[in-house]
Amino acid sequence: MTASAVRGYTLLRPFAVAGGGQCQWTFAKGTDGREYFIKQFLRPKYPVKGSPGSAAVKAQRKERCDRFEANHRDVISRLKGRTSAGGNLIAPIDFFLDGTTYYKVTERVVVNSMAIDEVAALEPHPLLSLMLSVVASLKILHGCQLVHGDLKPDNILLSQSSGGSGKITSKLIDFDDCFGAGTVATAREDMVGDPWYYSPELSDYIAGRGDGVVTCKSDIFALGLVFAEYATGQPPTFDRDQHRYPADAVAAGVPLALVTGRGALPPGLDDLLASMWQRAADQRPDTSQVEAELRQLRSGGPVRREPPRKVEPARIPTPGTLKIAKGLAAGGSDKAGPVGTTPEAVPAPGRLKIGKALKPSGDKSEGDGAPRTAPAPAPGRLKIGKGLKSGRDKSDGDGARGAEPTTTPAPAPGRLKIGKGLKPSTDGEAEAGKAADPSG
Amino acid sequence: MSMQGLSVAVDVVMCIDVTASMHPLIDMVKANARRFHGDLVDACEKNDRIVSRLRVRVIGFRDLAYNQEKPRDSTHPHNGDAVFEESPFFELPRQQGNLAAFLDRLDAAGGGDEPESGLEALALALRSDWTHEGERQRHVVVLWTDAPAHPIESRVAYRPAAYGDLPADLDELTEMWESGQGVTRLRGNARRLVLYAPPEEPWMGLVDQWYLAMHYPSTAGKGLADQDYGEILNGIAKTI
Repeated sequence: MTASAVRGYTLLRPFAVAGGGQCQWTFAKGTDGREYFIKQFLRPKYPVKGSPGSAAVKAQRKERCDRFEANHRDVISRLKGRTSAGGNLIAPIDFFLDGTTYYKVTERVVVNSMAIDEVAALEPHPLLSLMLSVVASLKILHGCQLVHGDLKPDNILLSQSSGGSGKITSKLIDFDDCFGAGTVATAREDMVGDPWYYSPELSDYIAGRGDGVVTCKSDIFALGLVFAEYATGQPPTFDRDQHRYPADAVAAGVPLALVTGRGALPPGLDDLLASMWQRAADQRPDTSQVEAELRQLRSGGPVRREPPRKVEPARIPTPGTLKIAKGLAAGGSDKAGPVGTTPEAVPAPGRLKIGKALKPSGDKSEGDGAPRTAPAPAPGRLKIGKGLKSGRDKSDGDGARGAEPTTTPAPAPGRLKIGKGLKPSTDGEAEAGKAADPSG
Repeated sequence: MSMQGLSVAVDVVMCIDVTASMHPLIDMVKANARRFHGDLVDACEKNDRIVSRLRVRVIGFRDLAYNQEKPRDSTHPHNGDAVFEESPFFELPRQQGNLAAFLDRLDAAGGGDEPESGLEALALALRSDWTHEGERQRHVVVLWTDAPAHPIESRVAYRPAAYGDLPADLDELTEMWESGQGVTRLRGNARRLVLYAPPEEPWMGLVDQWYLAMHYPSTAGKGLADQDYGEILNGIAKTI
């Protein structure tokens, strides 16, 4: 587009396409002199005087716009007061219609880059602290009965303090696919998230299967996938001959397997992840339970797993009309991280370069070669030898690359195991620009 | 092999202005036709997109009025009905040779002065036999031109009989884009319109009014020589 300013925001460079062609984004300077991230939605388009098309088509467009606007305003309204500048949850701060087109504005996030393999090289304590930081942000969202809907590494910006503390900050971004728990606001053909991170029930919804009920536990499934990458540097594996995405494998009763090789996982983490990948959503832990278990793992104490809480999906009758019951919403600020990861607001101007490095990559086994800790695997716990290339193959090809796992002890029931016929692969480069796209 | 995952079937219809000023683009497209499938799949992978099936169709267009009004020359291929040169969908990579052969037949010639009949070409693209295969589809129309377009209503009288049922005005064309099934085989949110066109009407109006339409500016009178092939591919890939 050629506009140089929108509603007082001076565009700093042309819009670039993102989100599967559903939106464009750029950076802009506000009237207060601060820089912002601004997203231009390519759908829906509000009918104005002189818009082409019949009255019926224009009425449909208006109805679609009203729904779209109500959903966005509902999300903004629910998050109001729970986020703040420099916080860990980058919620929209402005949403408006200009002519035919909707725009959304968030603070511009400037963080250092941190690659997945850098995360995977962390010692157990900072690794678990980082996970706790991410869970804390998600807990705020779930406390508002909102499902993120597009949880993936690209949507969690990470930065490590350049100072002596080395603290890691996470920022949860992109709430475009957010919807009220128990329903999905987006028509199934409109969903543009990454199917690698879909939960089985979200995948069912998009494919027109199942009952269409998607709760916050859908995010828990995705969060488990993200944590697997944080912990091992690679996505979990499964039989790629038979299943394209983790949700498909789990739906078919095939467990996901962690790949190790750089060092030992924090003890007990594999069990936690396995619980987050349960087929039945109500069997997965909620954010509070994940948080509690991560804390126990971090303290090195015994893990006491509470039975999963059954969450009745909250039906959202009309966007914007839901009243959140007292006590339901998670309290606290998004700055109140439970970790040694004090959020840092805009630490390093000019050093932005995130997403590319954050994508899961190929063979991360070369690493430092020094195990963080090397406890003997618990019975049934998966350990895969160094050199395995595994995980996500975007090529749609035969994926027959890399080595077979060197050890695959028989897993205990419910534990992780690696599928027969695993064909691991490397990962491609991430979408450039996503790095700086805090809203997707 | 059983794949339970979400497959994305992609149809791309390329509407190419084949008037004389478009020589640079035509040559570029021809040169790259044989590698289009591989390049697009690569670009999609770099953008985290997996294409399970890809079909491409080409529609060359000129100017209805110019083709009808100029002195008839039976030896010239671009008069009358040749204002639009339409291919069927080619399945790639299997029919890559067919695509290349069709493109080889396109000759950037004629058209006279600007504007051209780009909106009618767009209408032809919208009524393509879009795929409904797979659990998810992308119906992508890519229109390359270096010129504005005539208002549709100004060229109705010049239409050859074969194109008599094209939309009568922009309202009807918009109906085709908006209404989807029942009017066309375009499905829901699968549609994307990518315009490589000068920042003039009607293109800027379409981008402003039609949803899921995006614009990359081209320079009038210079074809699209300045438009890098990789950027075009990347632009298409980002819509998938």
